[in-house]
Formats: sequence, structure tokens, C-alpha cells
Amino acid sequence: MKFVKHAASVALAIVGFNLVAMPALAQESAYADLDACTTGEQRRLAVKGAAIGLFSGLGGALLTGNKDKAGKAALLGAAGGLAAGWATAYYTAVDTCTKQNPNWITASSLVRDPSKSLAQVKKEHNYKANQGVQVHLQDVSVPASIKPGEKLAIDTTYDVLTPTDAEAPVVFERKLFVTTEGNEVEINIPNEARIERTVEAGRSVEKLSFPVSAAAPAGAIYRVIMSASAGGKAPVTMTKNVTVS
Amino acid sequence: MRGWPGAARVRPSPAPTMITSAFLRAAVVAVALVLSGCAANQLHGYQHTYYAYNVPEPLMQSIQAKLRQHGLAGAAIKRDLVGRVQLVGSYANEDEVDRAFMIVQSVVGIKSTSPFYPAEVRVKRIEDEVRQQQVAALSEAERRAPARNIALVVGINTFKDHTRISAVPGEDDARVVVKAARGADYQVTELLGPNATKANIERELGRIERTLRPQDQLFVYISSHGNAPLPTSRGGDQRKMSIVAWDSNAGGADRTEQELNLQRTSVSDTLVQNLARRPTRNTRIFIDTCYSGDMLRGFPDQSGGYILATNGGQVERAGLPLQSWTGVAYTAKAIRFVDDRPRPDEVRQEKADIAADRAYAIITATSEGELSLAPESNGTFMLGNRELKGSYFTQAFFAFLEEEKGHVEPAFDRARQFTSDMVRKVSGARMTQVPRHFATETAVLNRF
Repeated sequence: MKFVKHAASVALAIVGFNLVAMPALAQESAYADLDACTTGEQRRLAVKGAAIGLFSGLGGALLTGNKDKAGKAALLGAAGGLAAGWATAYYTAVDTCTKQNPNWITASSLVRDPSKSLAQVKKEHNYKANQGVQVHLQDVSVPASIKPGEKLAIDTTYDVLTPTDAEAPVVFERKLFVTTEGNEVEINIPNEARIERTVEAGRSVEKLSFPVSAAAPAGAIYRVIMSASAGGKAPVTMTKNVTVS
Repeated sequence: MRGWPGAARVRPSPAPTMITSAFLRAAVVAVALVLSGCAANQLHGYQHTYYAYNVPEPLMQSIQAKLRQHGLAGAAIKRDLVGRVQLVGSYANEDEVDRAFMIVQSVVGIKSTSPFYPAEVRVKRIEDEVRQQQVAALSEAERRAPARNIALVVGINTFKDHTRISAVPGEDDARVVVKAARGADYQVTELLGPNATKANIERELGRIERTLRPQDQLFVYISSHGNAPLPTSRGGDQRKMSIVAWDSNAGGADRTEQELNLQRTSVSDTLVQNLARRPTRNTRIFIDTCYSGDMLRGFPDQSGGYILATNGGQVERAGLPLQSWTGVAYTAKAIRFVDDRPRPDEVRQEKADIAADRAYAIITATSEGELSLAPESNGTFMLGNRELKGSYFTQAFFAFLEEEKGHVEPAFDRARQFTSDMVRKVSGARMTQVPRHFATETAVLNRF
């Protein structure tokens, strides 16, 4: 029976992996409950099928006068019923469970913001769920030059992709440097340089507007570094320069 | 497989008990696998599933009411993809967003509050931080920048309104000054003749003021007419005397209109004074500008006659009021950088010296009530064996400066003597011109 024990432990390990691999996302996934529900449904239908098969095989053998083969017929009937029940569950368990739980909402029924074009973004990045949570900085848009006292508009376009298309917490880091006469100094942003925001999957734009000092000398260069990270991965970074005219 | 000759190659048939045992084992494994079930995402029809939230409408209305009640007029809410309450609308700042989140969470709880941050926040905290921290960063960057020698040279010979405003040799003088400044490694901005418009002069003064750094050296030379000096609240000796630009306009029906127009279209001396007060390593101002009552070729009128009569038959004249260009506002070393970064001692000392050495000097071509003279009819004059064209003082000063290898004081002393003698000579001792020099530096250090 050593082989049996090993096979069962492998099956349990697969289930366990599926549960653990689910990323911790802000939008609350009902996967764990769905998984438990579908497993229960499969068991229920398989046992039900096996019971029906067992009694059918046994009854059939007795009715046809093959008492000596009744045990074998019952066993075969149970096996067939088990398979049929399991096969039925394969096709119906998810639907049954979602119907039984009206407080769950499926991805197909979500009405997403069309501007985020999630499908398009996934295709663009050739994204597969097994790649985990991803952030791509598409663009950091700044003007080429700016006058002292004006506001420096920074539009950061980024894509967030998650295995379940759910929202995800993303860490944004912003750095600003100013260079005059070849000397670069970082503008210290003590509290707000690094923030975490929960964002929807798909494409988003973050708008910032940094005030440029009226004392900024002509020719000074502002260097903007925007970075974003999610899912515990290394941040992606983009740098842009703006010259004071 | 090689066998012995005659040996039978027959595989023994499995016993019935062994078949049953194998079948049972397979059946048990199959049952175990089936009963353990497949993961939900391997089943037919699987799609991502989330918990939905059904916040009752009365609670939504309650949130809206609370938002209004607490002054969040632009704030709004909607249900997000899974039904949680999401903040939308516009907010003045992130404090307002915090308040709105607090209201929503207090009504529906944390789980039913969508974590999405509203997009429309007019002033974000990071923007405030950048605004506050930028001045220090710019100062730091400025402080690290290398020192520059910056010069602005303005000179005008004839004016656009030449029928009303008399000519001066300002442009001839300015060309000599430009050459000398370039020779002393200054980055020179020259505004000569028609380029010396009011707009151009004001723009360049502003640009230099914005970009001037404490470690820079500044030199400003202006040669033109000055307007009649006006009293200020600081007292009679601190009068304002604006500088006539190339495109200044002296049109008007009478003397009053002419002078008002001229003042309106001239460059305020306050702009130059503001620049002179900026902290630098060294600021030198050289003004060859004075007011003369006969600068305007006006028509004889009653007031003109009266002014002449009260002035003993002479036109009124006014030199640059020196007190308006000196004093603590120009010479104080109040603005210093405190270098608290870890640095080698010698570097720290060098930085400290830059602040301590801040020097200021002003040279005027005339004293009060004097005119700045030049040969008549745009002529030339001799200085030793050199033929010079322009005003006596400026030409002589820069000629002597060259001879004195940039040392200002001996050059000034010689030029003052030369000018005084020359003016006495050409005017038949009826006029005087005594240039003035005010400097905070010692004679040894005062080098152009």
C-alpha cells in the first residue's frame, strides 16, 4: 500500500499548491471558498454516482440470476457510477457553486473601465497568469522645458497585470533632482516619495504637478525618476529631464 | 536472454489472487484521486471569482450626506467592480481624501470600502513637499556651482527720440568697457545703441538677478541720461533717478508732460539697485549717468525760465545720489551659507571666505550737480599718446585700469585727476567734474 499513500499525498500537494499560489490581492478573491465548494461537489457527485452504480450493478446481477457474479457487477457498477459522477461534477461543479453563492461575483460579470483595456494590455505584454503580478511603466510624460514659477506636469502611464485580473497594491517611488551648472542635488521628499496605492488591473495614469521654484535659474535641469513595483518584484523605473528656460 | 539447451522459455501465468490485488490497488487510488477532487481552476467553466458587496442604498445615501455635511462638496461615491463603496469626485487636497475615507469606513466598514484612491486631488502632499524642499535644494545646487563673472554693459549714443533727447557718448564708452570686461574674464551682456531698449534692459536685469549666485562676481556699467531725481520716503539724499533707455519717449505738450513721459518710459534705477543688493562675492557698479536740465530739447516756456532764474541762469543738474547706492543694504554680509556637511577643513574654510569676502563698489562719473563731459561734436581727446573717443572719465579710467593691471583704486585716482583737470580746462574753470568711488574692499584686493 506504499504506492497508494504516495499517490494520495501527491494529489493533496497539488491542491495545496493551488491554494498557496494565489497572490494576496486587495480585491478579495473567493477562490478558496470556490475551491472547497467544487471539491465537495465533486465528492458528492462521485459518491452519489458510485452508490447508484453499485446498486444498479448489484440489482442487475440479482435480477438476471447471476448471483455468483453479483459482487463483481456491484464493483463494476460502483466504478462506473463514480466515474460518471466525477465527470458530471467536472462540468457542473463551478456553475453549481457560483449559483449556490450569490455573494460571489465572477470575472465575466465585472463591468471594467473600458479605458483600462485590460485585454489589450495583456495582449500587448503577452501576459500569462503564471508570470504573477507585473507592473510596466509605459510612459512618463513631461514637457521639454518649463519656466520658473510654473508647474511641472508629470503624467505616468503604467500597466498592472495580475493572475486573476484583480486589483493589486503597487508601490510607487518618486525622486526629483535639480542640476545647475553641472551640480545635481536631490530634492528631498521626506514623506511622500514612496507611496502604496491599490490599482485596478489594466492601464492607468497617475498625474502629478510639481511646482518649479520661481528662483530656478534658466538652464537648470529637473530630473524626474518614477518607479513602480508590485508582487515583491524589483521596481521598474523611468527617468525624464526637464530644462528651465 | 540466453537459456540452457532444452530449458523451457515459459513465463508463469499470474495467479488469480495477484490480479485481484492489483485491481483493488488501482481502484483505491482512483477513488482517492476522485474524492480528493481537482482544483477549482482545473474544472470546466472556471473563471476568477470575487466576493461581492451589496451595500444597502440607505447607507450609500448616508455617506453622501456625511460628505456634504463635512464640507467635501466635490466628493462623490460609486460602487466599484465588486460593489464596495469607492471615492470619486474632486478633492482640494489629500487631507480631504483622508476625511472622505474615514466617513465611508465609519458607515460601511473597512472591507466594504474600496481602496482605490480618487484621481482628482488638486494638491497632493508630495507637491507640497517638493515646493517646500526645492528652495533648499536649489540653494545647495547653486552653492556647489562654480563662480562666474557676470557683466551687463549698457551704453547709448543717440536716442530713438533724438529730436527731443540730446546725444551722449554712452555707446563709445560702453565698447571700451565691454573690451575691458571680456579681458577680465567676464561673461558680458552688452546692450548698445538701439539694443538698449527699456524692455531689453529690464529683461536682462531681471535675468541676471534671478541667476546671480553668492559666489559670482557682478559688474554693471550704464552710460546714458538720467531722469530728474525724485525724493523718496528715505530722505532727500536717497532720491530715485531712472535711466533713459534708447526707446524712451520725451514727447509732450509742455515740460511736465515731457518729463512724465520720459520717466514712464525709462528704466527704474530701483531695478539696478535691487541687483546691486544681491549677495555676491563681488559687485561693481559703474554709472556714468546724470541728470541735466538741458537734456530735453524742449521749447522755452514759463517754467523753464523760472527754473533758470532760480538757478542763477544755469541749467539744473544732478549727479547720481550716492547715498541711494550705498549703505547697509549693499554692503552687509548678512546672507551666508552655513556649510554643515562633512567636508575637509580647507574646503569649509574656503566656503566661509567666500561669504566673508563679499565686496561692493560703486563708481560714478560725477558728483552731485555735475555733468559728465566729453569732447564736443563727438570728437576725440588725447591721454598721453593715446587718442580716445568718448567721455573723459570712462575712457581715462579704463585706459588707466589697463596700465594699473586691473587695480581699481590707482586707476580711479588717476582718472579722477585727469577728468577734473580736463573739465576745468575745457570749461575755462566754469565747471567741475569729480568722479566718486565707494568700495568696501581694501585697495590691494580691489582689482577688476
